[in-house]
Amino acid sequence: MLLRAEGISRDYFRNGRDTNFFTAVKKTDLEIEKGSCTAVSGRSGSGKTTLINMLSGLLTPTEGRVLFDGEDIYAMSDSTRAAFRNRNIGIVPQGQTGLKSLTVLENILLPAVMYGNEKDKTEKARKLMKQLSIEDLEDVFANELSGGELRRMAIIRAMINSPRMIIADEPTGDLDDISTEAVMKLFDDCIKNGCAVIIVTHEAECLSLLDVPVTTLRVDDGVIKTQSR
Amino acid sequence: MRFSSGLALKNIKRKPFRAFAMAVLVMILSFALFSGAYVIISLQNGLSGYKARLGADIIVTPNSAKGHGTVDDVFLQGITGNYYMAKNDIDKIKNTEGIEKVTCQFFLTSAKASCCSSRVQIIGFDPETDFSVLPWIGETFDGTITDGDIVIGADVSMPADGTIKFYGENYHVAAQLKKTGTGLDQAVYTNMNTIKKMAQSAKALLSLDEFKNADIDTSASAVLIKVRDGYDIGAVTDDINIHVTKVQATSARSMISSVSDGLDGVSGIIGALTAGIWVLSAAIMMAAFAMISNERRKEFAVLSVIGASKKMIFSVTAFEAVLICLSGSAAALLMAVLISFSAAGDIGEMLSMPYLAPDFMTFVIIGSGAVLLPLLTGVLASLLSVLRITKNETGMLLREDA
Repeated sequence: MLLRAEGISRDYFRNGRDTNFFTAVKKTDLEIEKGSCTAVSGRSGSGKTTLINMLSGLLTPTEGRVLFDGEDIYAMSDSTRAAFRNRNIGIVPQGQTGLKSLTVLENILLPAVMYGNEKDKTEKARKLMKQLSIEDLEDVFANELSGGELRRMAIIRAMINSPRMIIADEPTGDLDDISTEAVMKLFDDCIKNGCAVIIVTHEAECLSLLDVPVTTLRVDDGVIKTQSR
Repeated sequence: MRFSSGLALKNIKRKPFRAFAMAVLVMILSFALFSGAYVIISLQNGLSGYKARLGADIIVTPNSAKGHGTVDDVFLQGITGNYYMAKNDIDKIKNTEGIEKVTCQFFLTSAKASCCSSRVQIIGFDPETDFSVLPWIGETFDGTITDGDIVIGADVSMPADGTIKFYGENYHVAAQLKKTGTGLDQAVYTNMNTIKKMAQSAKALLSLDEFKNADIDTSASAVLIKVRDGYDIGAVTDDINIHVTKVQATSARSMISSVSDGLDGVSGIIGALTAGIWVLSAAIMMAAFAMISNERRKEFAVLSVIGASKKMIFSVTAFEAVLICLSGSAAALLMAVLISFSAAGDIGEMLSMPYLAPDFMTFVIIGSGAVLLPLLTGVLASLLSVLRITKNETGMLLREDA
């Protein structure tokens, strides 16, 4: 078992409402195996992003704990958890997440450079860029890219450190069919190499491009149901 | 470290206007701190030099000195004048009760004519009785001032041939004095024999009105007095003013306190202005860093997503702040140094106060403070604004942005 969530839930506080907090994710247990693919679906505001943020160590659950390889990631110090995330979890957040002061290649290599692991990573980055057809954009600054190009850059950045788990929030949202296919192929390869991939998506059809079994989690008003395997 | 400094440099390079605007802000703050401190210390140094150089408790000048240039004017502003009191009055002053030491000085203004190299105040002193000029000369010259020798103030140009011409005669420059920041720096000093020889030449050459009724051999321009222990300086001063006619006795303390009061006022204004500029600049820096950090919430969230700890994010922003603040401070320091050196004389003249630039060590301390304080303010402002943002979890920052 790579990742286990035990009784995690998350409340948000908000001002100016009748009730001052609401539960985005209700108490739930979850297990993610090595080399597995999990799709998370549900309506907007159902709690999908909150769930994956808790799983990736970016948002402390109100209750429960998240164990990665048996280690409680929220029991770690900020520095330890950050380094742990850098090493083990590749994250593709929602929206555009390129650092504008860096070129595409620099953005992609940033997770490796951060902890001095950039050796041999440039070649890997170039190979992945070629696979996602952005190899000509190596020296272009992030603020000059289209939404789709930025998304592909973020996906490669999440893979550069060969993490053991990739969590991608709507990774194909801005992509055309050809790019979507290329991205799903990359995820497919990662999974076959033992990486666990969690994909949040509204586009169920993209999952059919994967050549591996997919577990689907349906999030509905903070309640998570395993729908199919 | 390499990651933090590298990313900080790239951020500055990609946002040059933002970095420039912040550096200008730091420059204003740094310049205000340096200039304020520099001027205040220079004024205080000037006052110390002035106190040290007066040496006397009471200074007596003839009433005719009024309107020409008082001792105060000569010492403070280098305003020169020829005025003399008769031997009779000098003797009366010497006989006043409570006097421990007394010495005379003879003033002569050189003419702006072909007979003289430059127009300066020449002060003649009596080496036998002097307690005011000799200790000062002793700081730079350990020989004896013989007849025909002159000692020049720090602001008088040293002639190439070592002589200066006054009233048709050349006089040998024996030494140049240390700077005091007062009018004394523009004067020339010599013994009584030499100055009286000069005065005789002046009388013969220019037939000056001042010498019509003056017996050059026995008269003096100022009498400097040291009061005996146990006697009140004010009382001795009053005694002279009451009993000796045609002279004006002034206690050195009152001369110093009028300068000191003026200096307190000027220092207070400069200090308040400096503090005001500092508070305003610091507040603007805080607000600017807060605004910039707010703009960069997404960037901080992304850095955290890919594995940067809060410490790493702090060090990226701290590096940026250090680079910006150092460049702003360095520019300010360069500007302040150039202005301070080129306008040192003008500042003292403008304020009509003794003004003496600080020594190198003090200069280094002021400079370091003017760099370090804005640097600390900038780094602190930057860290506080980042802290305000990063106290939120990354998941919350991403949620706000979504």
